[in-house]
Amino acid sequence: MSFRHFLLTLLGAATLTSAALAHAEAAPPLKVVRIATISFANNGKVGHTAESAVLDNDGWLQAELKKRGIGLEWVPVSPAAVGPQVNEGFANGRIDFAGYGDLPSIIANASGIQTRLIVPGGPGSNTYLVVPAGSAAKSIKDLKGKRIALHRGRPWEYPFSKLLAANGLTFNDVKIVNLNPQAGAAALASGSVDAFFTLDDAYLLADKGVGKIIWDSKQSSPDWKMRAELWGRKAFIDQYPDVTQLIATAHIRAAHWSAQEANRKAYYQLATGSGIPLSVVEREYAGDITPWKDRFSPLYDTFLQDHYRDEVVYARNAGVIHADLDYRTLFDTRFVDAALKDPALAGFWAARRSQ
Amino acid sequence: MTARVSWPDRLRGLAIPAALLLLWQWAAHHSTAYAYAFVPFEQVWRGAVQALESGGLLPNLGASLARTCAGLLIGSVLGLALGGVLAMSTLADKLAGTLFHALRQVPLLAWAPLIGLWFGNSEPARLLVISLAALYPVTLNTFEGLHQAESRHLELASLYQLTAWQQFWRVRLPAALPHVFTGLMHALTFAWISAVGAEMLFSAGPGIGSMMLTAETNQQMEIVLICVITISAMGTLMNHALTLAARRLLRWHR
Amino acid sequence: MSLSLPLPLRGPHWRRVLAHPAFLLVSPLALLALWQAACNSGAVSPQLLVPPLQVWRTALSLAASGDLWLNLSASLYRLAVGFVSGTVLGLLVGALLGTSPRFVVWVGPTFNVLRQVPGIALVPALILLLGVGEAFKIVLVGKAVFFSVALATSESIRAVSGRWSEVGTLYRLSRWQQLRHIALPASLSPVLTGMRIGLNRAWMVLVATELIASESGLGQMMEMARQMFQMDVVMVGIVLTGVIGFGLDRGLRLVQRMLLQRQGGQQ
Repeated sequence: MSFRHFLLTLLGAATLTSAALAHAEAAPPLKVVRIATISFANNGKVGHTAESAVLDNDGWLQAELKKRGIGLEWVPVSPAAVGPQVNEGFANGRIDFAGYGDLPSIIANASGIQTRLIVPGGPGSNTYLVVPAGSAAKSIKDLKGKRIALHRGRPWEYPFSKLLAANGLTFNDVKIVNLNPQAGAAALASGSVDAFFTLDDAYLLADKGVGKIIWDSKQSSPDWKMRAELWGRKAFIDQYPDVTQLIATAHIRAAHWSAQEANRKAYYQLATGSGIPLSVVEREYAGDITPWKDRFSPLYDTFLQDHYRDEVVYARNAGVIHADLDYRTLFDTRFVDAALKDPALAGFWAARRSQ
Repeated sequence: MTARVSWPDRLRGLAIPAALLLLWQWAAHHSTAYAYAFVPFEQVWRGAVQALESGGLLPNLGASLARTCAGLLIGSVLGLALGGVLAMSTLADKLAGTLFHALRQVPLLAWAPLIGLWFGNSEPARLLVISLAALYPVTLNTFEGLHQAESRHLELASLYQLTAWQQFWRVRLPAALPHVFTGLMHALTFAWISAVGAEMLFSAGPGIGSMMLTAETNQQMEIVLICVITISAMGTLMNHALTLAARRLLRWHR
Repeated sequence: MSLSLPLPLRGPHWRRVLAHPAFLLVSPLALLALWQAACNSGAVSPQLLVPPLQVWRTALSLAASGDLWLNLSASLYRLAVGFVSGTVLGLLVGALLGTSPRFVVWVGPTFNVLRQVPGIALVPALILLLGVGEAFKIVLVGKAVFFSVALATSESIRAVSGRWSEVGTLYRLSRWQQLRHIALPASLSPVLTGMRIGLNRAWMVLVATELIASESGLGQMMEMARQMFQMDVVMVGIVLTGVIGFGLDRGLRLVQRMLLQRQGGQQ
C-alpha cells in the first residue's frame, strides 16, 4: 500500500465517520419508536423494569403503533450507568423516549440536550441509610464528621442532600466516600465507612447481617424518593406529536393498571424481573406513608413543580450543572392533559401540594 | 517447557492453592462481614448448581464467547494490516505512529462516554471495544516481527533479486510469524477481558459480564464468584488452545 | 492544508526529513485539524463533538481551579507506588521462576492461575481486606505490573540460560556468576519491555479502578464528567491519559535504549 493510498484511506475513514455522525442528526422516516429501558441479564433472560413490563404486557401500544406501520423497540440500558447512557442516546438521537431519573434529565437539559417530561410518575424508589451491623449510630446526626459512602452524580444524591439539610447538616459536615454500590457494600461490610446511602439494596445488606438500616424515606415527603419518569426527545415530540400521544397514553394506561390495589401483588412480581428477591420488593413498598395510588400519579401538580424547582437549584449550587435552567421549560403537559380526558381516567388521581 | 511434570511435583504445585482455599474458607466463617466477599464454598457450590440448572451460565457464556471471537477477528485483521503498513513504510510509521501509540495509551474504559455518544450503547459499541483491545497487541507485535527479520535473510533475498512483494511474502512474513502469534495470544487475553468489561459497560443483553453485573446489583456474591471463576478458566483454556495451535503451526520454524 | 512530498521517497534527503523529531507531531496535528474542520463544517453538533478550542479552554480552567493538578497528582502517585512495588516484586519472583526449578514446581501453578483473574473482580475482597483508602488501588495497579514483569523476567532468563549455560560451564562460572554476568545483562531488554507492557496495563487498570471507587484521580474526573454530561471534561481526560501514557512509555523506552547502549559499550 503506497503512502498516498494510506492517507486517502485515512481521510476516507474520517469522512465516513463524520458523515455517519452527521446522519445521526437527520430525522429518518418513522419506522420504529425506540424507548430506552433499564435491563438486567437475569437467569439467561433479559429482564426489564416493572414499568416497562406492565406496558409490554398490556400490548395496547404495540397494536396502536402497528396500525400505523410503526414498530416498537426497547433499547436496553445497563443499570451501571443509566443516566449517562440515556443522555448519550438522546444526544445522538438513537432513542426517542426513556423512563429514567430526574437528576440526569436536569443535567441533559442544562447541557443543551433538549428533552421534555411527557408523563410524570413512576413509583419512585425509596432511599436508605445503612450503618455497619455493630454501629451505635441511630440517626444521620450521629454521623457528623464520619465517612459516608455515596455514589456521586447518581439520582439519589439529591435525596441525600435533603436528609442532611433536614438535620441541619451540609455536605461539609460529613466525609463523602465516592463508591459505586457494589464497592460501597463491601466498604460497609469491612467497616471502612461509617454509613452507606443507597436504594433498596440496603435490605440485602441487612439480610446478610453486615448492615442495619437506620433511616429510610418511607415516612418522609414523597419528595425524598428518587423519581424516575417518562422523558422524550424534543425534536421527536415536535415532529411526531401523534405518536408521542400514543406513547403517553400507553404509559398512563400502565400507571392506571399498576395503581389499582388489586394489581399490587402482580406488580411486585413484575419488579422481580430485575433479579431482586420478592421479599426485598415487598419490604421496599411496605409501610410507606405515600399512598400506593399516588406513586403512579401523572399530574403536573404543585408537588411535582416544586420538586423540580428545588432540584434544579440544588444541582446549580452543587455544581452538578453549569448553566441556569428554567424548570418550567422541562414540562410538556399536552399529552397527559389529552389522555386524562378519557372518562375512565379523569379524576382518578388528585393533585397534591408539596408537604 | 513441554517437560513432563511428575505426579509428586503436580501435588506440590497444588499446595499453595489448597492453602489459599483453606484460608478463604476460614475467612468465610470468620465473621458475617468477611462472608460478604469470601463466600463459603458450600454457598458457591449451591450458586453454581443454580446457575447451571436455571440455564443462566451457559447461554451467557456462549454469547460472550461469540462476541469475543467476532471482536478478535475484526481487531486481528485490522491489526495485521496496520502493523504491516507501519512496518513496511517508514513514512507511514513516522506519520501515523505517534497517533497510534498515544491512542493506545488511553484506557478502553475511558473511551466509554465517547463511544456511547458516537456509536450508541449497544452491540456495535461492545464490538468496537473488543476489536480495539485485540487491535493494539496484534499491530505492535506484527510491527516488531516484520522489523526483526534478520538482515542476513534480507541480504540473501536481495541476492536472489526478489521483488519487494516477494521479499515480504517469502522472507519477512515467515520470520514475523512467531511474533504475530504472540500478538494474537495477547489479543485473545485482552479481547476476552474487555468483552466482559464491555458487557458490564454497555447495556444489558446476554453475556457473562451482564450476568456478573446483575449479580453484583443484587449482591449475589456467589454468582459473582462463579462468573469470575468462569472468566478466568475460559481465559486459561483459550490461551492453552492457542499455544498448542501456534506450536503446531510453527513447527517448521525451528 | 496541503502536504507536498518530494518524489523520490527513498532518497537520503527524504530519510533526513523523516528523522526530524517534528515529524512525530504530524499525525496528532492532522487529527486536530480534522477535528476542528468537522466542528467548523456544522455537520456535527457540538454536543456530539466538542470543538478542540473548547476542550483547550476547559483544560485551562480546570488547571486554573487546581482540580486538574489534584486529580493528576493523585493518579500519578498511585501509579508510581504501584509500579515500583509491582516491578520490584515482579523482578524477584520472575528471577526465582527463571532460575529455580523447585520454585516453579511449588509456585508456578498458582502464579499461572492468579494471572488470569481479572483485577476488577477482586475489588470487593480487596476492600474488605484493605479498606477503601489508597491501598487497594495501589495493590490493583501493582498486580498489573507484577505479572507482566515477572513473566518477562522468568521467560527471558530461561531463554538466555539455555543458550549461554554452555559458555558459562566452559568458563567455570558459578550459578551466581552466571546469573550476574550472563543471564541478567542479556535479559535486561526483554525485562524492560515487560516493564513497559506492565506500565501500560497499570495505567489502564488505575483509571478503571478510579472509575469504580475513588474521590480523586483522572478516572474519577472523567466518570463524574460523564454523569454530568460535560463532554469537554471527558475529552480533556482522554487527551491527558493518552499524552501521559505516551510520555511514560517513551520515557521507559529511552531508558531501555540508554541501558542497552551502555551495555554495548562495556562489552
